[in-house]
This record gives sequence, structure tokens and C-alpha cells, in this order.
Amino acid sequence: MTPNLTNPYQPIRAQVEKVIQETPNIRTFVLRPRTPVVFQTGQFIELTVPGFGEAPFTPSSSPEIEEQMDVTVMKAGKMTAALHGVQPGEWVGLRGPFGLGYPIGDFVGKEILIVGGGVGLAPLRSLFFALVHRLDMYERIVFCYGARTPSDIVYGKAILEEWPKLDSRIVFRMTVDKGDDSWKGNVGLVTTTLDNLDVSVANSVAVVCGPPIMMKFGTLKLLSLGYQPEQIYLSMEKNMSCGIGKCGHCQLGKYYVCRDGPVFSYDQIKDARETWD
Amino acid sequence: MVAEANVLVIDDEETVCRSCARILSEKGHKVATALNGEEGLRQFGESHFDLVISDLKMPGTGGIGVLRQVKERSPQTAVIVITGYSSVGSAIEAMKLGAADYIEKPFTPDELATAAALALERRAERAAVALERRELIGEKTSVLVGRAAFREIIEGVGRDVYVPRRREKGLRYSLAGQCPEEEVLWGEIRPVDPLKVFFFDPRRRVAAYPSAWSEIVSGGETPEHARVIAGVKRCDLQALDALDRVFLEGDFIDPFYKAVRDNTLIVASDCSNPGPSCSCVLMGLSPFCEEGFDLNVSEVAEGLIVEAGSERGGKLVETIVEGAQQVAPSHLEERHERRDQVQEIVRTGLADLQPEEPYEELVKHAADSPVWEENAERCVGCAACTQICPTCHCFYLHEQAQEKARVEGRYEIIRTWDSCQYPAFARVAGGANPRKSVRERFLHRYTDKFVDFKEAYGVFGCTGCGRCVDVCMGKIDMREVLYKLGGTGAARYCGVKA
Repeated sequence: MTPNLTNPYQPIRAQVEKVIQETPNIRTFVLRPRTPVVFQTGQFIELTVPGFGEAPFTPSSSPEIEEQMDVTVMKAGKMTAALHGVQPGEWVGLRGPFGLGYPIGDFVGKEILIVGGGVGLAPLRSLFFALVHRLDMYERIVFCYGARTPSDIVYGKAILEEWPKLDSRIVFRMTVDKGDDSWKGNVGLVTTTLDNLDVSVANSVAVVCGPPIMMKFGTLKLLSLGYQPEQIYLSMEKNMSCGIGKCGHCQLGKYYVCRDGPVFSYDQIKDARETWD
Repeated sequence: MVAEANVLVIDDEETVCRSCARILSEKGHKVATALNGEEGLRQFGESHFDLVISDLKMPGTGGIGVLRQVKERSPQTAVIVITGYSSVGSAIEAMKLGAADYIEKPFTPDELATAAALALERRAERAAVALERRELIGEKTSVLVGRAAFREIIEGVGRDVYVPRRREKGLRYSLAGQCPEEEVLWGEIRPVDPLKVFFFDPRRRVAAYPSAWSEIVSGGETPEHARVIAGVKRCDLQALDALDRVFLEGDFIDPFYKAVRDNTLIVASDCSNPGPSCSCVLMGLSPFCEEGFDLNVSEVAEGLIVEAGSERGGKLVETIVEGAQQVAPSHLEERHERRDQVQEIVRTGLADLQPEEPYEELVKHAADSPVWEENAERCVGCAACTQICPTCHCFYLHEQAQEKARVEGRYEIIRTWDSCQYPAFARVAGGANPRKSVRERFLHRYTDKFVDFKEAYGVFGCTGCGRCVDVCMGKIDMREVLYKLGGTGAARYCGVKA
């Protein structure tokens, strides 16, 4: 890759076209960047709310769509609270894409096990769209997802009704930590969806994204099922500030998550001291 | 086949000299001989030699002394040392100092001829490479000039010329125009301020929006006039190399760093008075520079030896005509002695802190050592160590005051130095933080400097400048911490008899 000689700190404007309330504290922002942003699924961008500063997010939309980009955001701190206040028609700043996404070229011919928790579904939606776009190239997709309660399920209608019907080679396994009267499905942690899996582990890769604790136990469970560290891909959450491997915030051992990740194989980071913290 | 070469044979045994001369003359070389080191070096100073063959053990200046001086004066000249039986130790030392080969007495004519041919062949290869390099960077030139004359020359380069100036608490970089001549100190120690302040501002605007990048450049934020920073010491030059790797390598180049770096002429200078916190030699560095500068200044009694290390520097040296002298071997000898002396001072000062294992190994395998906890207890978390560190490069991007920006409809992204020693440095919005405790942050600084930075960028994140030792409010000495981590150091530290 040739070095980018333009100012990597300069955001471009992106119009907010639509805001979708996914759960009580998660919204999807449909953005139209001033110039199309081409990204690989799993790469991230830095989003700026004017006057409030930046934060890193992985787009949740298909990488095949260049003019528009979805970003699904949970209200967690000052910046995300400000972002939740942004209305359609207003604009935000956007830098990127940065980092290395999912190596989907290596997934060809394999059974892909996707394990997601909570708002960790955002990057996985982008990955799912990218895989579905060329579904013929993959053996099968097994999508496991867990949320705290039924009302915390992100992209509810899609994941519960639409996606499972797309193709017979796509299987969904859903769970919630705590059910309610309307919930007819499984109750239990997301790791329980990995019990009695009918995937052939040797010809499979697993992709995990979610809160740190879920990533840790999800990974341990996969290892116990026979997955090798190099078959497991994790999206690491760190405090990426610059996005270009210089500011030091997202350091993980010898890696900078923004530059060498955010997607890592577990093999790369299994010995780093701060992987699960 | 190597063409005819000029060879100097130095041996206190006349028969050895004579037989060597005969063997090599038969191979077509021009041979001169000397019966002791002093005589050999005198001859070496007077004419050009491609190869020097010297006995190691001679009364007066021995082979090692000859080797050092030959390499100092003419690094391209190949040197073969002759050793007595079973003195392999000194042969190895000679090889480390740059000898091309060694032959053991007694040797056959064939052994000598083969060794000479090989050494000359390798020399020719190196010379070809060097020639190519010289064509690329310009001839490495040096001259001897007076202090005032040299100052005039660098002041002519650009508008911002910084020279090392004596101040109450040490050396500071000071604008040359405001600095009386007697306060300029070329030797001494590294200045108080880390060199990074010139290239990586503590706080600067890096983007403005909705306006575009080009407007920032034309806003005159990038100094377009040449800047000179003089008096840069080895530790800081090494740190600049580390920062170059961070800001100029990879897919994204930092345009602000690059603009200043491209416009700055670096004048390095030899240390003459290292401080109590210095530890360059423990980091594998010497208290003087050999590369990476535009010019290097070495103080000798008669003035300054100014050596060019880049094309820019070379051109500047060529303009020095008035008051300049050629650098004589005696000047280089004086420089060599001074450098040796200073290096010895640093080394002696560190005799009690010499680790038994390389720092990298010590830190890598000591994550659970009690040393971290006990030193972290003295850390007040002020981050002075990272602010003053010449290689620390962490920063944070944030916006300016919100109200003003909103009124003006113009937003700015500001880059401010940050520190891994601050509690929230690695915290994410969800609240997770891999370094919640002082101990974890303290340990992180060491693993980054001595293990992770090296793996990521190929050089250590510490250059032994000692500034963090000087400024620590908790009186934490990095060298001591590292020493206590390993071997007998750890044993002594834990009260165990080694």
C-alpha cells in the first residue's frame, strides 16, 4: 500500500440521512459521506460530532455500498450521547477507513461461525452482508447471537425474521440472558448457543464480537470445541484516537489495534497481557 | 583477481616484515614496512594504504592501537592482524574493532597471500558500495573551523537557528540571535528539553472542519523557512530516529512532523560532560554521533571539527572556505581520545547498574516481579517522565472549546501530548480499562520502551538520556528498576546472597 500523503487527521463531512432507533440505547445512523468511502468489512472509521470530538466505530452496512454508510452506536459516554442527539439532515465528520478488516478471502469454502453479543452485532452485520453478497463462495453460515433481553436485540426484525429466511445455508441461533412474556426462544448466555453445534470444526472459522467478557468466554468455549487459535477472529475494542498507529492509545503488546487490527486472529494476541481487559 | 594495492606491514620482527614484503610483492602489491606501531602510523599518515598488516603484540603502540587509529583515520583501509599462538582472545577483539581478518604465527606464504587477497577483495566491494553511497549523499567531508566562524555559517542557513546555551539549570536550545558567543556550549551534555518539542508540538491544531486541509497549510502553520537545531546529542538523535519510525513510516505519514523534519537541519555534537543520570552506553549507544545528522561538531583544542553526514550538510561544509583548515590526523586523534574518555566516564558511572541480561529479556520475563509494585508505590502519576522523554509520542485528539466553535460554525481538531501514565489513557467508553492501577501503568511504560516498541519499530523506546531520572518526583531511577529486575540484582534486591 502506498503511503497516504494527505492529512490523515482531516475529517470529511457526512450528512445524516436517517436515524433508526434499534433498542432503547442503540441507534443506527445512515450517513452519506461527501465523497464515497470505500471500506473492507471490519475496518473502522473515526466519527466526529462537531464540538464533541471523535470516537471509533465499525460500519454496520455492506462494504458493497459506497455512497452510504450505516453506523450503529450504543449510548455509552459523552460523545455517543451527543451523537444520539444528532437529527436527520445534520452533518457529522468522518475519517477513515482505518485498520485491517475481516480476511474474508481466507473464509472461502469454509463454514463460518459468527458469534455476537449486544451491540457487537454492528460489525457482524457488515460482515454478514459481505458474506451473503457472495454466498456461493462459502460453505455455510452459522450465526449465534445473544442479547441481554429481547428488547436489547439489535436489528430485531431483520435478525429474527428476514435473515434466517435468506438461504438454507444460513442458520441462526439466538438467545437472551433474560426473557420476557413475548420471548419464545432460548434463554441463557451466548456461549450456550455454541452447545451441540453441527459444524465441522476443521473446515471452519469463527468470528467473535461483543463485550470483553463475552469475547473472552466465547473464545474459551470455541477452543474447548476444538477450534485452533488461528481459526478464531476477534474484533478488539480499544480506545483508538488517531486511527493511524501513532497516538499510542490502543496499544496491545507489540500491536496497535487501529493499525494491525481491529480484527485479529486469536493466535496473534493470545499471549498479550491485556487482551481480555 | 585484485589489482595492485598499497600494503603496509608492521611487525617488530624484521624477518617477518621482510618475508611478508617478499610474498606480497610477488603478488604485484607495493609494500612498505615498519618495525613498530609508531613508525607504522607515521607512514600511514603520509601516504595512502589499502591494506595494513600489523602484529598484535609489539612494544609501544600495539596492533590494537594501530587498528583503532587506522580505522579512525581511514575506515576503508583493510587491516589484518597477526597473532602469536593461542592469543585468539585479542584476535576476536581486533575483529570486533573492524579488522578484516587475522592470521596466526607461524603462517605459510599461501596463508598470507590468501588472507591479503580476500581482505582486498572485500575492501574493493565495500569501496564500490561506498562510492555509490557517496554519489547518493555527497562526499562525506569535514573541516576544522573556529567557533565564531561556524556559528556564522549556521546562522546563514535559516531564520530559526537554535544553539545549545548555558543556562542556570543546564543547557537549553536558544535562538542564536539572542545568545552571546561565550554562552554557546558545543560539548557538555544533552539540553534539558527533549528534541521532540521541535518536531512534535505539545499542542497543535491538526485539522479544521468543515474547511479543508489545504487551508491549514496555506494558513502558514508549517514553517517553510529552514530551521537549524544545533547541539543535538547522540541520545536525542537516536530518539529522533525512533520518532521518524512512528511518524514517517507506514501507510500514514504525519504531514506536520514531515514538514518540520524536512525543513530542519540537524547539527549534532559530541558530549564532553555526561551527567549522573546518563546511560547511553547501557542502551548500546556512544556519547557521540556517527550518522543520522546533517553536520556533526566535535570540539578540539584548535576549534571545531565539522563533519557532514548528509547531502545538505555536505553542501554546507563546501561553502566553508574562510578560516577553515583541513582536518589533520592529529585532530582526529584528539577527537578519538576525547570521545574515548567521555565514553569511559559514562561507563564507569554505570558500573553498579550494569544488567546481567539484556533489558529486553529482563523486562519480558519479569511481569510478576515485586520490583514493579515497589517502585510504582513511589510513582505519583504526574507523567513528567513521558512528557520529557525524547521518544514518547503518545497524543490525544480532541476539540476546542465547544461554545466558541458552535457560534463560529468552525471546528478544530487539536492534538495534545498524552501519557500512558494517566489513569484513563487506555479506558474505553464501556468502562473497560486494561491499566487501572499505577502498577499496571508503570509496568506498561517499561514493556513498551524495552520490548513492544522494539518489536513494533525495530529500535528501543529508550535512549538512555536520563531525563526521566532527573524529573521524577518519586525519585524513581529507570536504570535502578531494570537492574533490580535481574540476576544478582534481583537476588541482592530480595536480600538473598548471590
